Amino acid sequence: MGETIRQKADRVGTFRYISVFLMETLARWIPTTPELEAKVFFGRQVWDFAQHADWLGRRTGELRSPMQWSLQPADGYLRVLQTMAGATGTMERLAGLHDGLMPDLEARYRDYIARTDRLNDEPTVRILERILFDFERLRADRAAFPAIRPDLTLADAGWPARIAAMARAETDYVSSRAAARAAATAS
Amino acid sequence: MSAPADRTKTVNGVVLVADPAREPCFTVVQTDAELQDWPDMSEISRRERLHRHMNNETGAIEIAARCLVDFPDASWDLRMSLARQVADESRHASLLLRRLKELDGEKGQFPVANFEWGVTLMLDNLPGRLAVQNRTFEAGLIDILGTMRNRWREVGDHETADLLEGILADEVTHVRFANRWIKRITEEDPRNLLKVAMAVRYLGQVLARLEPKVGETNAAGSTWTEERRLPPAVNIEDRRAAEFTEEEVAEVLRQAGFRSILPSLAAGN
Amino acid sequence: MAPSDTARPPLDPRLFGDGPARDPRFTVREVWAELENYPDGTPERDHEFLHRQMNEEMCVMENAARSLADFPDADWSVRKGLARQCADEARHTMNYHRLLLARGGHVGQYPVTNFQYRILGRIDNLLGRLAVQNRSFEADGLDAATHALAEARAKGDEVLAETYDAQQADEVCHIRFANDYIKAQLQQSPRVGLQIARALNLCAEAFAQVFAGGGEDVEKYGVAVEARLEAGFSPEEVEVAVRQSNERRAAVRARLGLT
Repeated sequence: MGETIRQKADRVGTFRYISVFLMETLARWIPTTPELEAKVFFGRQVWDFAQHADWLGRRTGELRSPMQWSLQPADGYLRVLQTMAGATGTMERLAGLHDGLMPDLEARYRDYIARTDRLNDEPTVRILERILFDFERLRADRAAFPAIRPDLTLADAGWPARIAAMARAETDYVSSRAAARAAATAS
Repeated sequence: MSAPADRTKTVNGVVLVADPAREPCFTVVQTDAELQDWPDMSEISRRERLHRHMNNETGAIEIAARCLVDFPDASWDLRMSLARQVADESRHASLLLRRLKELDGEKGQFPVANFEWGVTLMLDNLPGRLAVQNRTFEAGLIDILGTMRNRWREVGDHETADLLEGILADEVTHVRFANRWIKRITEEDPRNLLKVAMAVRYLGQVLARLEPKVGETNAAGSTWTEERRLPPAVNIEDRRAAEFTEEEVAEVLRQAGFRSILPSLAAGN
Repeated sequence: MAPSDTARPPLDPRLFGDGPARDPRFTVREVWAELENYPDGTPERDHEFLHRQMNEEMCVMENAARSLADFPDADWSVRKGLARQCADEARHTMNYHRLLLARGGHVGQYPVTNFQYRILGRIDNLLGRLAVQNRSFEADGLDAATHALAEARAKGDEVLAETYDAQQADEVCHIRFANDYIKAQLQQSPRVGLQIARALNLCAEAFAQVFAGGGEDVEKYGVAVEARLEAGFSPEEVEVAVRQSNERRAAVRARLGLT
């Protein structure tokens, strides 16, 4: 990847922002989601994202930024998160997160791991690998959900795919880099 | 006390935050009198207890979740504890639903009320919410679970008793983190004590207005007696584990009329 | 036999414990003067430096590992810090090994010295070891890495620069956890300051023996102020370090006729 410690901290801080955002989004959805099974599905995952944020936040402290430091993502990626979080239907929420956003987030974690020096940046790699390990379980939970509530379906069948497409379109997710590129283009 | 972001409802002249989302299968009621509960451990009473407990755990998920949403600037360690609480209460609700189904019950079989949500969400500050939800309602649950676990065992349902035992262990940690945090923030800034005191006074006022009165009959035809209105046996051991001080435990005992001094207290003193 | 074994008195066993295990590829010497100290700018200097760093990181790892084993009753927070340090130093060792191989070197190509490990073997308490290893050796390493990072960047050696950059971030954490632990212990009981003072004195005496003959003639770089502050040194401590470093460098420059 050939990035400086500060640039790595920016990426990890952005991942932390996303994890906190997802924790809060699930928390926001819980009281306004009627179905008990969906409430507890979201509720259990609140703790997963909180732990991911915590691990990433400890790492920002090791990368010479403050402990538990978050960096707001680039505007475009932030809009993706906000759009996904704005869903009101139960299945739009569940599938928007799991089928729309999370595969993209997983790809970004894998991309980080692929590009960084695994030895030099091993603590970050380990954290991301632990998160990806959790993602497998979250994916299995999501796959099992229709059997628990077969009556719940998407009112907007294209919603998860639209979220996924929006996310894929945002190449830059770290705000400082996006801002630097914008400035370079403008000059 | 205000919750400008939430819709409100008025129950017997008391303004509370309107109910959280529930599925159509649920009949949501507003007072204890509208609930169906039975003092015995008959089959229907067992199912109703599990059903009511399940909805209370759901309310606890929702309250902790809202604390996460409403106070994004709270310390990270506290937010982590709240996130963990959300996950724990979610597990509890799932476990209770599973047990309810095993006992031939189903969701929506009995009316439910969201009193704790309605009261706690009226508070606009985190010390107040934790004082009411974790230090009062959840601490009360420690007492209830201590008693109920024994009652389920007495009727031979060890599976439910074990389930409650597991829930009790989690609830102790929820009360403990709130106790630790409130202690810390009141030491750092004594003005937080005022927020806690105001929240507890508010809760007292609401309870005085809404608690069932002796002689009233609920939806199951069960009459409230003086004995039924008494708080459950004080679970001294687990309250200590949740880091209530000796004085606080003694105060709760005093309010309970010393009706159930557990052997461990005598041993401890 | 080492080239100068006959020319110097043996190291004082009161100051130096046994060395760590090394495989037969390594030639282990005792003092700085017996190493191959190539002048700056010579082609072999960079290879030898990578080899030396690789071995030093290994010694630091061994020190952290030994403290973890020797003080099972220490606070969990400091034990966790030591365990993390072990893993970090292992990575650093592997990093230098990788770089050495990539640049045509090999393990055992140059003699090494394990003085850090041997000195710490004579300190019987954790506070003293942390004061010497983390607060002194690592802090000096921080200054060196800060300088080396700038030097590597200036030369366009991005691979080496990235290695230093990452290592520096790790060392800040190692110094910080030691500083936190030492401060907490001192607050609980100021008398433990004596253990630290004794350890630092022992280290100074040992250093004089290891680096006799010019090993401390470092005049190129000073104290990495920002990094030291980040690592939990107080502004007063950094100020003292800067003053001492400036005096030392001035003396070295004068001795070498550079002024």
